[in-house]
Amino acid sequence: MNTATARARPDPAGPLAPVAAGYAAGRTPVLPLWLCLGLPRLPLEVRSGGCVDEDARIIVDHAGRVVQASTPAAENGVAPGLPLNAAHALCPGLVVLERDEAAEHDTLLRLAAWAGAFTSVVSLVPPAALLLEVRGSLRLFGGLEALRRRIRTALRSSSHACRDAVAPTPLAALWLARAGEADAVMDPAALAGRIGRLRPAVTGWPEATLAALRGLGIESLAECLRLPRDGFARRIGRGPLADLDRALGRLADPRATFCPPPRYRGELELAAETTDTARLARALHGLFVELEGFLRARQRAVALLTIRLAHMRRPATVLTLGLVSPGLEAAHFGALFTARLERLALAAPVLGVTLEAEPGEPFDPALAGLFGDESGGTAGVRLVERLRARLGHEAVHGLCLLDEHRPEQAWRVAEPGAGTAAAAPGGTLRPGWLLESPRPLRSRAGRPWLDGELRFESGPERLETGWWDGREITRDYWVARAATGARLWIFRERPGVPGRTDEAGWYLHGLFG
Amino acid sequence: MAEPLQELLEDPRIWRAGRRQRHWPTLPSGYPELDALLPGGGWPAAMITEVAVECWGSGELTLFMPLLARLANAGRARTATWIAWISPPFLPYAPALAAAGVDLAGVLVVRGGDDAETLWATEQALQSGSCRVVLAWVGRADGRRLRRLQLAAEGGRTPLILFRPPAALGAPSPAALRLSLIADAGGACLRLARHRGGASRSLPVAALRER
Repeated sequence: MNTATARARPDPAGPLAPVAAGYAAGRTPVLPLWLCLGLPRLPLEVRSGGCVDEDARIIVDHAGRVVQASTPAAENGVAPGLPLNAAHALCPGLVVLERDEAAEHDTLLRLAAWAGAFTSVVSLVPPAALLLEVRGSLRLFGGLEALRRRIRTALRSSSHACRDAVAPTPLAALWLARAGEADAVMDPAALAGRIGRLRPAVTGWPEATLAALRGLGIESLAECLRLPRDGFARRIGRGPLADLDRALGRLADPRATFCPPPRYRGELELAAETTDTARLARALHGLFVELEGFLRARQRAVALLTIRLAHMRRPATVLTLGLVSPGLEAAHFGALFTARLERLALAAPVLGVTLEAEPGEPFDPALAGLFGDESGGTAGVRLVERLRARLGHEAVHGLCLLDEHRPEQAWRVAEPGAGTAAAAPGGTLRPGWLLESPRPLRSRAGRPWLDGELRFESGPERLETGWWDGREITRDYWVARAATGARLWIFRERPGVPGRTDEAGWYLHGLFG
Repeated sequence: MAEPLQELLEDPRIWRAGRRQRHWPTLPSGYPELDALLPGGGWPAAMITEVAVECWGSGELTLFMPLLARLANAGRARTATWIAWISPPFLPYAPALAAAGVDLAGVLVVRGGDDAETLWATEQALQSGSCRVVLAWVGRADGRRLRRLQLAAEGGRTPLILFRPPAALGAPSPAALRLSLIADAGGACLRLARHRGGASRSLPVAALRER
């Protein structure tokens, strides 16, 4: 047994404070570093669809007391804890929403899955905080401050307010985040001093405990730490004492690691019914950001996104976004969705949005470009996706050759870039333009006619094939010139085909563009 | 002080009367006679070429086939993939394209429903920088939209060949080169309607022989 474990068991009689030195003197190997993400506005955010501070709105609990107020409401004096009628009196026209704790929990779970993009150890602290063990991620993300900036930017773009704090123990990080202390505590020896400045309320101890502390005249945790341990345990309780020990790293504080669900499903209620596509796009952007984190944590990409737009008393509008090559960037999803939305006529105002995705094949970072820029191949695929999102899947295609003599069947529509199945035909002249289906031409005295008599330039080329599959053709093809100077590809259906009565009919089949 | 001014005057978009025009980068058309006719000796490499076609089938594809075939095998093939056909009036017939040497794997056919969608798709294709060349068939388009296309073409360094109805030549356009294919019973005639800093000339299409 080494000294570190011996010291981890605190001396019951000694004072609480100056013990953290033992922690640092223990095993030198890597100490964990916890980043706590507090989400102070979560109750408002889950009920407002990304527009928290647009109007005066409050969240009330089932007892009818204000839980949280948006900035415009708070400016009118509405504060948490007020009864509803007092809030109404202070701020007429208030939007009152009931707290939805299930939605808050869902959002917290999704954010935990998103946070997996930054570290493999994420732990939930319900109702509104996440703990991330980030020691192992510092090098990858270029240092602690770079990592925190990145997390904040991503959260801001998905319209979540956040408070983050960093400390060597999870509980200390949580308390610092609740107090809004953003300066990172890296050194365990400095922990006691930093925590000491906090007020006891940040611990989340029961109200009776806090009242007892107030009764003792204790205003800060430093004063708690100065009390004798046995006295503190007797008067205040063993629980708070253990909490202080955990926060200072003297007691082990194991945390359950969050295990993300296999597929992504994000749901968001909008602040108000809307047909405004910009607002919808903004609401979905938050979900796309979450999805990107979810996918990055797994190194997976998706090929298909399902978006449901919920309406009042109407079935939801379901949009599916197909990606030509699986991707995971939120910005790309957003661009596709916007292109799709521009074409969509919304049947009714939208109340809420749901995004679902099944992580598909492993993401290939080589496709993403080394320096974050799109390589040519990716840009080409992106273009196809963007065009298809707006114009429809069928409107964008490639061409491919088939080994076949019938002109209609010598080619077919293919996936863009699919290449060609047959070799280029040689010898025979083919027009650059083909009509979708042959167009009957009038004839005068047995000669084809199109705004004037057609002059034959070359021909005939006889095609007599296809008897085996019932789409037999027997045609003589000619190149003819119209009065306008256009070169046309025309054919005459030869008589003798069973089931055809229009003898010697002339048809226009292509143009030599 | 003089340098910015000099730079400005060297800009290929500024034309000064009485001065031999410095031409934009071009791509050889594949027809010696046509190269001799075109300013700079070929199709503009990152600008709009506007072709007014009186009737389809008068050689509008023949003009560009060697360019399409050449681009397919050019060095840029690695980074730019598509030969985009946006809202063509008929089906581009794959066997004819293959016979002309066009790489079918790079052909991207886009059917925009109307002119607005065609213009949008064209702009997207130019901006993405993933097209070797964009061919677009546009009926009505105002000058502002065309200018946006010109900027997108320059930004994406992609040539844009815009097929327009003959009436469109009456309206101003930022195209570097404007051609018209005049229908004639004996075969169409290509006329250089207007280009930046040059006089109009013409050439019968039937006379073109591929090099």
